[in-house]
Amino acid sequence: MSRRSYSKHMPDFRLITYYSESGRSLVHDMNPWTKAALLGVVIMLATVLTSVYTLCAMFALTIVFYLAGRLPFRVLLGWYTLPMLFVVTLAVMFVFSEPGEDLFRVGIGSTSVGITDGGVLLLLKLILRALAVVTLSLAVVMTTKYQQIAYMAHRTMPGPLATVFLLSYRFLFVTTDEVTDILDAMHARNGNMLKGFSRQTRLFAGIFGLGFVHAFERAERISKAMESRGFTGELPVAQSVGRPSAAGYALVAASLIMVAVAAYSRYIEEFMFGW
Amino acid sequence: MAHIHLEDGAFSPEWVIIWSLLAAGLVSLAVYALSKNKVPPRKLAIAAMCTSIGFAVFQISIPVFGGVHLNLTPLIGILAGPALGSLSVLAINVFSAAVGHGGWGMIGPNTIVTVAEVFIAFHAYRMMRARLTADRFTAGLGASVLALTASAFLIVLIIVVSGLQDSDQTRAEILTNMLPIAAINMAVGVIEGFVTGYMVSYIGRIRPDLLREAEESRKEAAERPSDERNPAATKASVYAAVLIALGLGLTALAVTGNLGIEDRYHNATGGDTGSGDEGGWFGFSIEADVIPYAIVVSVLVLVSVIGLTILRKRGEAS
Repeated sequence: MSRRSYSKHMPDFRLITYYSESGRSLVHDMNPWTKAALLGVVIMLATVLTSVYTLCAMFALTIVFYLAGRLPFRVLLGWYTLPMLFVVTLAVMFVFSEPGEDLFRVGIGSTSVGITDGGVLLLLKLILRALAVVTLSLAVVMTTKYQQIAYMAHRTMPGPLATVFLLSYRFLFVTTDEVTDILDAMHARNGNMLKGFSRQTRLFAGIFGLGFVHAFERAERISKAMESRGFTGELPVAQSVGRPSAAGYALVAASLIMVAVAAYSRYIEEFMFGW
Repeated sequence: MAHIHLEDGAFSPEWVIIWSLLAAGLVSLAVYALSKNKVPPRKLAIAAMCTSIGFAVFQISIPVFGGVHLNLTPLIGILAGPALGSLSVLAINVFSAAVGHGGWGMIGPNTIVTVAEVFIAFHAYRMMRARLTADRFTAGLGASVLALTASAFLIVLIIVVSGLQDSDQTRAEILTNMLPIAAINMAVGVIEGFVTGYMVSYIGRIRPDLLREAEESRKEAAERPSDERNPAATKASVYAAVLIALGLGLTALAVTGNLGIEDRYHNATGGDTGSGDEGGWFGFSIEADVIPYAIVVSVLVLVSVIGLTILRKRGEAS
């Protein structure tokens, strides 16, 4: 039966898996270790870069990478809602109190509230960083097969953590369906997420309580089924991932040099404009 | 539930590294505790299912004050235990970072926050049930509210201590901006406490075996068959306390400028955050700051070491 995500603003793991397992592109063919390293580089750059121009350039490059993977752009725009929501709703607390020149100010009694250029710049930088990392992160997840992720998890994580991580990934499809069904039922009865304390509590208790109880029953059935097929607490890995190619190493090395230059320029001695 | 919704680049690299190392230490302790005894596949499956349902409900956010949401971390702690629960919340944080719900660099700080929730909720619930003989609803509610209140303050502490890159706001201003978010998180924590209380009572009625670990007293735990016992878990808890004390010490040194982080941060932003060099942080001078922190850290380390020694002696005696 075909299912869909409970919101077009939430990343849909079924769609992600579809693209990762059946997509064909240059990015799909790229070595997963190289892609993971590039993600690490972009995270470091997002932390180190401070100029709006360089952050814009980084964001543009991540979009190019995403499109090179032949991944759906409109879907990505919908999925931007979540990081945008968090950045905007949190940064809005800082936008009004950031020092800088006033762009807009309103007097309220004896005090006044205003937006400064520093505040807007801070918000813009946080948004650019968030979107750049999310774009590459989704591009990597949507172009890497489950077996490859499983192998990488086994190589990089301790045993129990890798097992919990990979099992939960598999269970995600079931539980998101479960939550989708419960939310559908709530909306069908004119339910809303913003209600009074008492109704809110009962509403969440209903949604999550039911989800947990169903999840337990399902987990036990699955664990019995797995044990009967020889599962001893460690997920088998069927496919290995080779080392990156020479070009992959070169790409990662060049990116790391760029990070080192940016970090030196920002934290030790400013010698390059815009870093 | 409390969770830092900042994205990558909000904290300076030094702070990302400090929080990530501290989180890695906590997770290593959880893995160490688990590695001493074989984890039954059933428990692994339940922990994985807790992770996936936790992640699924995690995405349902109310768009106010940085996005508040439930994720039932205290419930995960009560059901899966502190060690497996810690791995579970780490996995939730990794999945969340992959979809932009908090940055990758925030996995460290968020893991500290959520592991604290799991740890406090489990032990508070156990204490309330085993020693204070509270009913399941009250114990679930109390443990959740306690854990979530502590984590709300922990979030404020982490953000205020780390500061925001590119922002010229002082720590006092950041604190002022963060307090409404902490208040909202605490209010949501009360809602989550009720949800957890209802859930725990329900599970206790239909599946009390799932709550066995969280409800047994230390004596009952000691009487368990040797293959079911996990003495490493208790020891690991004490090691975690030592690690947290050391992390606090490192943080205190960094805040007071004794690691050189603050100065470099000032130079980098080109501004004066007013937190270390002029008038100090909340009125403390740099020199005066070190003393109370050093005392607190020393006491914490001392208490942890004494606790470890007592536990070891008890283990030998039994």
